Amino acid sequence: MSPELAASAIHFLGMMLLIASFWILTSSQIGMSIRAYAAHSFLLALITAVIAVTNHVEHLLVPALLTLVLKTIVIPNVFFRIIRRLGIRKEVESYINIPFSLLLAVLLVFVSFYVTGDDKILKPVAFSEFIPLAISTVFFGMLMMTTRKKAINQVLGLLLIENGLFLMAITMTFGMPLLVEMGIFFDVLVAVMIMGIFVFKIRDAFESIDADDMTVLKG
Amino acid sequence: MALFFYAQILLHILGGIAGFLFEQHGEKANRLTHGLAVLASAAGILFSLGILLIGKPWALEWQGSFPVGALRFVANPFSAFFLLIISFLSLAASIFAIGYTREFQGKKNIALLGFFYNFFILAMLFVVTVQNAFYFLFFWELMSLTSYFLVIFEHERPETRSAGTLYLIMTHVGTAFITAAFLLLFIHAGSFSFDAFREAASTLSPVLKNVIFLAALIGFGTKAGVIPLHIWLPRAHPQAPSHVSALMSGVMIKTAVYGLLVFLFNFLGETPGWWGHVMLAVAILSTLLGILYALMENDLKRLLAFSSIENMGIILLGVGMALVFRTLHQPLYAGFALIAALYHVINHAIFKGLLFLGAGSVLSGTHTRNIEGLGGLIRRMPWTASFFLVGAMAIAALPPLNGFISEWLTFIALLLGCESVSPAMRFFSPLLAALLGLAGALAATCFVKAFGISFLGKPRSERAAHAHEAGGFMKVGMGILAASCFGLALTAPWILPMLGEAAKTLSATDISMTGLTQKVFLMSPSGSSQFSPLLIAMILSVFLLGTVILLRLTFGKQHVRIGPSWDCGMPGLEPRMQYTATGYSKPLRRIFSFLYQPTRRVELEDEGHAMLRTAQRFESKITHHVDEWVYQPLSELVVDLSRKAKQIQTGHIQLYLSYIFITLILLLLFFGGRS
Repeated sequence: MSPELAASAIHFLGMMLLIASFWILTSSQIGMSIRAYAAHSFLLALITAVIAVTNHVEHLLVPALLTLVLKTIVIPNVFFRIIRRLGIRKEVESYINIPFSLLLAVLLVFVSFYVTGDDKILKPVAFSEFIPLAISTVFFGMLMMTTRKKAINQVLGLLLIENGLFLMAITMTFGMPLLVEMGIFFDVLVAVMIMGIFVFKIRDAFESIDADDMTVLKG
Repeated sequence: MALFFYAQILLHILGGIAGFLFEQHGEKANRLTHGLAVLASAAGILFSLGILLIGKPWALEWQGSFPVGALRFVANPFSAFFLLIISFLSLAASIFAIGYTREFQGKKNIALLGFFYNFFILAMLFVVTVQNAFYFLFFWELMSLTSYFLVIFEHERPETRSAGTLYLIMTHVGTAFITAAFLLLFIHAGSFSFDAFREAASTLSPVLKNVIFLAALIGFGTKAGVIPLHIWLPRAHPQAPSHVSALMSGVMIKTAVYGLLVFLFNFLGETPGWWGHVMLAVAILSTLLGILYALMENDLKRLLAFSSIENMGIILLGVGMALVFRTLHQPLYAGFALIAALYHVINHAIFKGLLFLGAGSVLSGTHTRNIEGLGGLIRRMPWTASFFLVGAMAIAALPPLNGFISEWLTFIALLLGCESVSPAMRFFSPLLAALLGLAGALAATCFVKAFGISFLGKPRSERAAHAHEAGGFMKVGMGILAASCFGLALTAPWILPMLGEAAKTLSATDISMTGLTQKVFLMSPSGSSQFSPLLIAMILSVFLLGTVILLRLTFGKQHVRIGPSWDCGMPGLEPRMQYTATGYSKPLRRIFSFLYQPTRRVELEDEGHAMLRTAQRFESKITHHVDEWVYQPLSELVVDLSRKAKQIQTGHIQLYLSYIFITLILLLLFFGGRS
């Protein structure tokens, strides 16, 4: 792949990634936001692959493949099964309406570009344009966790944060040792399983997965 | 030699764990865990005596992989002195415990008690030998936590739990200050090692030095229980099982003296003059208030705990004088004052340990700590009574017992201030000596009350009437300490050079010991007075024996006649007609009413006429000013602030997440903006 082609591919993929992030946040149906997450993860896998090829760090292809399998196929499927089993309403319930969360998200993108603007941080990194994108993905995940009512959205928010951190890690380091990456993937998978179980347990205990009901746990 | 120290550590660890093998058999666990503690302490005594007598320090270093420097233990004469006290008292307390813990059997988990007990002693041993600030704090914390679990051992009682919580809070406030002091030294010296602190001492700036001094004083002062940081001590010490109270009052609070001395004489270099004055002020306040509060106390163990505050004050008087003389560049006098303080450290450990064990024996014999419910115990518990009497006489500084020696030394140290070059000290030191004399007299009154009301007269309650004598192990435990009360007094001229070694190691100055002892005499360094405990003991026993022999010779062998007490012609003497503890301390309550501000309430009930009285209730209380002026407002403030802080705790998980989120964004904006 020629450097020019790689550069424009990277730009394109980065843009798509940001759009996918917005898509997750603005979906009014839970099913839609899970699909958006799958798309986000798919783009992440592509980015990883492009970085692997252009920088000749072939072992990065393994995480790319794992991202593709786990985050694009397995985890969304797990989510769909949870939704089916729980039989919850499909609408996303939020404290703030979708246009306003879109507005906040735009603001957060500005913030993430602002805080990473320091040359000292970015100069040595080849694909420095991904760093603000990674940070804004983390921000989006947090925004999702703080504004959504259902526990399942909190789990989705956490996974979004994880995607952001993963993007940050591969951009800054060109891939950690394979063992570490395998560990991270395993962690994510296990986390999803555990949180899935928790969501069921929360439903059993509170007869809903509305995180609001958990205020009774306060001392 | 070092083998004994390893043996001590190993035996304590084994003793802590081995009890769990017989968790179901209380007696086996008891014998195993406390028996191993006895062996460990015996090994410790041999080790520390070896260091003290031979004078060759022992050191062990383990590099380790933590980035805080090497874990280094040193036993020089100074730390060996503290090792000796800890090992000796824990020997007596562990023997006592074998008998004492029998009453917990079947009700409580003895193995757990033994676990915390052994590790408590172990932590104290490490605190006084470790040479690295990080590990010092670690062992200090271990000591605090294990002693907390020992305090709340009988956690079924609510007052025990609240005392434990107070202890935990206060001890951590103290540890926070100690940590601050160490961290400031670390920033200055660039290393956690004590040796680095010592080397960097001369380059400390005066401001930093003062801040470190104050932090160390507050931190170690909390552990030592000096007024006004004492409130936990009279509550927590009595709640622990008695052999643990003995160790806590006897040696745990002495580790604070150790820490303070190391800071003052090793880490801080030249000392400004006002440090000594602050130390003396704190010390005299603790001495007087401690004993005044002890006087008003009717709970035997609380009384002893308040008296510990007084004795810490006496120790700090010696330390304060040592500081003053050091600033005035009079090393001999400074060394003498330091020796006085160290002597009182060991003496207080011995007799307060003895008194707490005695109180434990009374507690297990009668199941009450209230003096007003005791009485006449000397007939049912003659051994305990005589051991308690020895302890009471020692703490009241009566010759020929050990308390007198160290108080005499402290007096001389105070009076030496008159010969110093500082005019302020020439004025204040006789005043301090007079106040120390007052405290001594009050201590005597206090222990006349404690002994007289508890052991003499007639039983004031059913429990006291059916008291039973302590078992063999408990007698041995108390007996060892009672014998040492005599031993430490009679051998004073030979102990003094050993303490001199310890003081020399600490202050790294040469103190000429030749002028301080002459044959059997203890000498004041200025030559103004001298005193021989051995001679005094001989004169006293000659008088005592002489009187007995003279009486025998003049009157011949008399038969003892036992008759009724004279009852003023009104037959039917009752135990209730005896002098009470409250009544005994009444004159002093009147004299010091400006301090105590006593309040009392009398409730009378009758059926229409004063002659038809059906019930009377009497309540008398004194005011603890420090509690009311400092701690009550403080605790109200904390509760108030916590209530306000609770408002941000809504229980909404989203809100908690947004706290994190907002903090993160603000921090990023603050630190990460475009440069």
